[in-house]
This record gives sequence, structure tokens and C-alpha cells, in this order.
Amino acid sequence: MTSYGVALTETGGRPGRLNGAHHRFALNAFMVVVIGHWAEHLTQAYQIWVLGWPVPQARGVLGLAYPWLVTSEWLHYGYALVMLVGLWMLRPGFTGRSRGWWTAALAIQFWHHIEHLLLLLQAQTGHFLFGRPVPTSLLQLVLPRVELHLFYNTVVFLPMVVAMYLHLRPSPAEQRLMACSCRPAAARA
Amino acid sequence: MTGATPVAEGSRSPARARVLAAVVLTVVVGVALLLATGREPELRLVGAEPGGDAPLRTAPTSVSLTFSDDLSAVAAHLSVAGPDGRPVSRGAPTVDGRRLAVSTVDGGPGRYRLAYHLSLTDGSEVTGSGEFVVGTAAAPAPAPADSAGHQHLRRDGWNLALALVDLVLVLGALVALLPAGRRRRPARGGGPARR
Repeated sequence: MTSYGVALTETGGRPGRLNGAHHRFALNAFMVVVIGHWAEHLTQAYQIWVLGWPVPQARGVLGLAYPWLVTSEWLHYGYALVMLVGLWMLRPGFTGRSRGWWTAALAIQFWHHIEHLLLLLQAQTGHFLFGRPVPTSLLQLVLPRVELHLFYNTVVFLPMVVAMYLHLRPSPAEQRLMACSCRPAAARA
Repeated sequence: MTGATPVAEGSRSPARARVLAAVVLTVVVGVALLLATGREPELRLVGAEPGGDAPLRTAPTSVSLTFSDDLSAVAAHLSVAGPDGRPVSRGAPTVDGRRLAVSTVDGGPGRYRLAYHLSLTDGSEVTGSGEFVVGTAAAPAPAPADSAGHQHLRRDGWNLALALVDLVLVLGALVALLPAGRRRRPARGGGPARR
């Protein structure tokens, strides 16, 4: 109940339009971007494991037409930034159980964004960390880049999905605390 | 005293909006898959010499790549760099049927990198890179992810497992965005539904 009260103060006091009447639309738009990004990754997986394409040629959909997209540190950093901003701006609309999950996604994405910022700075300056021949993020000391950033994206997305599920299917107590357009119509009546 | 501010009913129907969003997302994913499968490259790398992961005893005098189709009437580039990063390939690459080759000189022990680029007659391009190690004393090659730079997936169990987890998560996200199957009824004694 205490945590609900805190959430109520932040969402019910000054809900704002983004986290009020437009929260559902903004959440949908954000998810279109996120799932579009996943569609690219899953398309690459499909090309590799189902179609049997060589890995360098499995560049998803946009990467086939624009190969530079796949290698652009700016694109990777830009997406990490969009994720961070989206998670941060839409967080006030979440209440109850969903808020904790969404906050977890925000925290992990913050670190993921720092890693991409390091990669971007190295790519721009030409000075690579740890004497490596390519831009290297911190946890690449433990895991290879491919697995690491796929893992990052996964562990950010997992709490997002749980948060969305709980937010769009709130308990009666959570419904009473919701001030956004995601609140079920029956609860608004 | 909840303090929650009910959102006024707008002109849109939440259920319809959710269905619309789910349909749009499904169409986006479907179109992406269709586009991806419909644009299979006509040409693929099917072999390389030197190939395999074992270090070579001596530096090769040439490097050749074999593709899945005839390379006639395409512009082709193939370059090889030695352990110090300097080119060891000499002259223009030669094309013989499905084979693209270039002569190389000894660059000493270590890791050699190669890169190729093909401009096909249909306007598309095929590019790729690879590496091999010369000398048993050569430092082991770093993890392929490092040399691969921006590749997003590799053909191994970990990547496949993560990709499958992500597929499940995406499906979960789509389910989450769908309208809830069971509506919660307003509390008994509450006011009548607005519509």
C-alpha cells in the first residue's frame, strides 16, 4: 500500500498529458519502435538459422538495403538513447506492480546506454579501451560484444514486457491508482 | 480517497485502439519477414582457401574465395592485410568461374585479415571479411565478436538461445498489447457504465 501511495502522488498529482490521456498512445508508439528493432534482430536470426545465409550477409531488412546501418555506432547509440528517454518519460504513468518492473528496465537500460556511449566515443576518437583493436564496452571484458548486447537488449525487454502486461491488466487496487488512459474502460465508468 | 483522476472518455475506443495497434505490429513484423526472405542474396560465399580454424605453418602465396554462383560480369575486390595491418595482397584479384583469388606475400606470423567486395550486375553488392592465422606461435585470434565488430548474431548455441528467448518476449509483448480477455466488472453498487 505504501508504494501505491507513492505512485499515486506522482501520477495522480500531476499526471501530465503524456502520462495521462496520451499514455496508452505513447506506450503503443514506443512499442512499435521497440518491436521494430526486435523484428530486425529476429529477421537476422531467421536468415542465419532458417535460411542458412552466411552471417555477414544476414543483415535483417534495413541492413540489406543500407548495410552501413548495421555498422553505425551512431545508430546503436541513438537507439539506446531513444530507449532510455522512452522508459524515463513513460515511467510516471506506471503504478503498482508494473512500476517496479518498468523501473528495473529503466535502470538496466541506463547502464546499457553508458556502454553504447563508450563505444560511440571510441569510434569517434579512434582510441580504443583496453588496447583492443575495436571499440570495446566495459563488460566486453567478460562477454563478447555480440552476446553481450543481445543479452542487454533481452534483459531490458523482459521487465518491460512484464510491466506492460501488469499495467494493461491492473488489479482493482491498481486500477484505482491509475490516472492514465491505459486504465480499463470499466474502471473509468 | 484514492485521488486517482479518471480519464475522460475520448472519441477513441480503447479496445479498438488495442486491436489496431496489435494488427499494425503484426503487419510490421510480417512485412519485415517477407521482405527479408524475398531478398535473398543471389551470391554467397561457400568456401575459402586457406580455410578452417587451425593456424597455418607458412603464409599462403594466394587467397581464394569460392562463391555459390559464377562471378563473371561483376566488379570484384579482395584484399588481405598481414599481422601488422599492412596489405600483403598483390595485384588485382582474378576471377575464374565461381572463384575469386589474389596473390599474397609473406607478412610474418600472426593474424591475417581479408575483406572482399563484389558489385553484381543487378546493382546489389556482396561484402564480407575473414581471417586466418599463420605460425604456431601466433597469438590466438580474439573472439570472432571482436573482429566481427557490429555483427549482431553469431551461429552458435548462445545466440540461438537468446534469439529464441527474444522471440518469446516479442510474442509476449504483442499479447500484452492485445485487449485483456476478461474485463473486470465495476464494483457492485457502483454507478452505471457510461456507455
